[in-house]
Amino acid sequence: MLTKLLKYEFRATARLFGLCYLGTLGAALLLRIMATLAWDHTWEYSSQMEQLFPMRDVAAGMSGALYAIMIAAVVVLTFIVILQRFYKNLLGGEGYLMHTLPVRPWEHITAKLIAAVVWSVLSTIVIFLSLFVVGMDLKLIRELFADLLAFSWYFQAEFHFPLIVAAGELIFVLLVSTVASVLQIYAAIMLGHQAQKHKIALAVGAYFGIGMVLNVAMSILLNVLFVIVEAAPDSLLDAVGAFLENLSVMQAYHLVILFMLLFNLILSVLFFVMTERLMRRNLNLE
Amino acid sequence: MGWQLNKNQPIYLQLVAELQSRIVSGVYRPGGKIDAVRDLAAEAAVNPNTMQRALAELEQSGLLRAERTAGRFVTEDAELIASVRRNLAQEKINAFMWDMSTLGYRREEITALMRETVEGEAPDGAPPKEIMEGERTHG
Amino acid sequence: MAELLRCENVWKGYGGKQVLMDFNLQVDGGRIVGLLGPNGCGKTTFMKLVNGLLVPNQGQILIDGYAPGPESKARVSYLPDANYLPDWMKVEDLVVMVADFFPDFDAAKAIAMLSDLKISGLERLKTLSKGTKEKVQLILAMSRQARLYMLDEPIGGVDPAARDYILNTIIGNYNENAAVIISTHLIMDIEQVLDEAVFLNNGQVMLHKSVDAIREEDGKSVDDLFREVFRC
Repeated sequence: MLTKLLKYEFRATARLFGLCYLGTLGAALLLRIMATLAWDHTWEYSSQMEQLFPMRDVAAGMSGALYAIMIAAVVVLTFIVILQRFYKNLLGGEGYLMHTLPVRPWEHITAKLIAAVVWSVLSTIVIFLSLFVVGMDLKLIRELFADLLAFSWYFQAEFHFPLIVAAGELIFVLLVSTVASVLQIYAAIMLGHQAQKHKIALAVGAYFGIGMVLNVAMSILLNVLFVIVEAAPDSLLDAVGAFLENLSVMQAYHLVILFMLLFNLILSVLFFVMTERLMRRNLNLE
Repeated sequence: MGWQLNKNQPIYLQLVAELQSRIVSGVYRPGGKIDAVRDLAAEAAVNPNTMQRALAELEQSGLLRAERTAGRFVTEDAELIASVRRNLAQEKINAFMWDMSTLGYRREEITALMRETVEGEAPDGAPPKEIMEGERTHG
Repeated sequence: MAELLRCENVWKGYGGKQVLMDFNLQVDGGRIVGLLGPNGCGKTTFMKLVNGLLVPNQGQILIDGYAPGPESKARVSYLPDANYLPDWMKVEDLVVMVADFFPDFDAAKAIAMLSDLKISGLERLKTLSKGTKEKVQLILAMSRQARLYMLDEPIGGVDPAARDYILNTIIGNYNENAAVIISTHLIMDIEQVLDEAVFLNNGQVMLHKSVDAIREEDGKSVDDLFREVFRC
């Protein structure tokens, strides 16, 4: 069932994203061309261009603006689609169809979540790709790769740990934090859904509300930590201190990574359970 | 679409009446097979259970015979059909007599009028043929 | 005949208002039941509860022995009184999608019915008129081989010829192992298709009687009885 849901989820959104991605890459290409025509004085036809195409500065400027708009569009579109697919498909009129399918609520949430993360990742990739299209040429790419390789050698030598794995860990944490963010949105929407009126306003409020609660919880935790540190015996503190000082850079890095991972994982589980519970017990379609 | 039915009275009785008419008038021939419940119900635009009830009544009275897998058949008992036909006709005549009496017609007047209608010309000049050969109009 | 629907002591309220109160109903297989009552009496709430779209505050609901969940949803075919299908999809895509999620869906039947009503499979839903959209929704609901059909105002927004076709379909779909519950205002049009009538008022069942019994005992049509009982 989950795979079927995913299939229809992507079918519903692919066209929109496809067009937007194409548009962004197209705008990047256009900018590249215009910029070259206008400002690349190493180009052999540059002076002829100046005569043939007097508007080239304006054209280049406008292409730049267009490109910026497209980038913004990708970001905004991703965000809006994530919101809409959850809100409209599961809580709007289509909810009558979705919730009468022989499917459990957690499957609906998971399908939307997976699609949301996939689109987020793809959008990020497309943006980076478009930057390449705008600014990179073969020489630069080769230089970039050479630098990267050199850096990874240096990294390995210095930290005794492969760069690619360290980078991979970071990317993984970013992914999990994306999951947590999306689930926070879903939980907020479900909370807003509980109201009879002004569901959207309440959802927005709930989103920031959750954020605030988290901040407060963090502060409390920090204070608790301070109190513990104050009250702890010196021997324990010394031991902890010694441990921390003896950490290598990589070990410290891994510790931070682990902490971020755990943090986001816990948040994800929390938000998922909240969303699932509200959807299973407190659904109220118009 | 559907048979003309009066919703103020039990539908199944009206279905029985219509089916009886079809049997006694020969629309459903003696020994012939009739449609399945589902098809009859669809034709009449009624609930299949109601049609089933009507058919069961007719089975009870002997006009229909159910053969397990083959379906339902009209009886071949010509006497039974004739007697049901006679009874139904009598009912209609009684109703007609009652209606005529509400117009103030007396027995002799009715008889004379009937004779004129059937044998000669009808009082308003229309030929009698059209009345006797009236088609069974039902959906 | 199995008991396909059982609602026991169901209470449901929201926003401070009680909509269903100590609601009890049993429906057996092979029955076509009319759910009749004035606006706001709880008909739609009842339908949502049976479909697992709402959770009762109290009481029990069993569909073919199952509590509302994926098992019951696989056995129920629901036609809500709303536009609930994704607008951007084509009719033929919808047929494929419903077939994908429901093993009991008869795609060939759906296609035949669409053709009978002259609805093209290539049209996107959003280009169809309201009446045509409703026909599509109804065809999809009736092409399921479900145990329980819940139809909320199936003939309301549809022209008389299509109405006949729809009633014909409901009759033709008759199956002694399945039950149909029709919620409607157009009592006169459907009462000859009903086995039983359930009058609902203020969240409670006022009457649950066989339709022919109403005609025999009360000497009136269901429509007339309704007008009498719910006189304003």
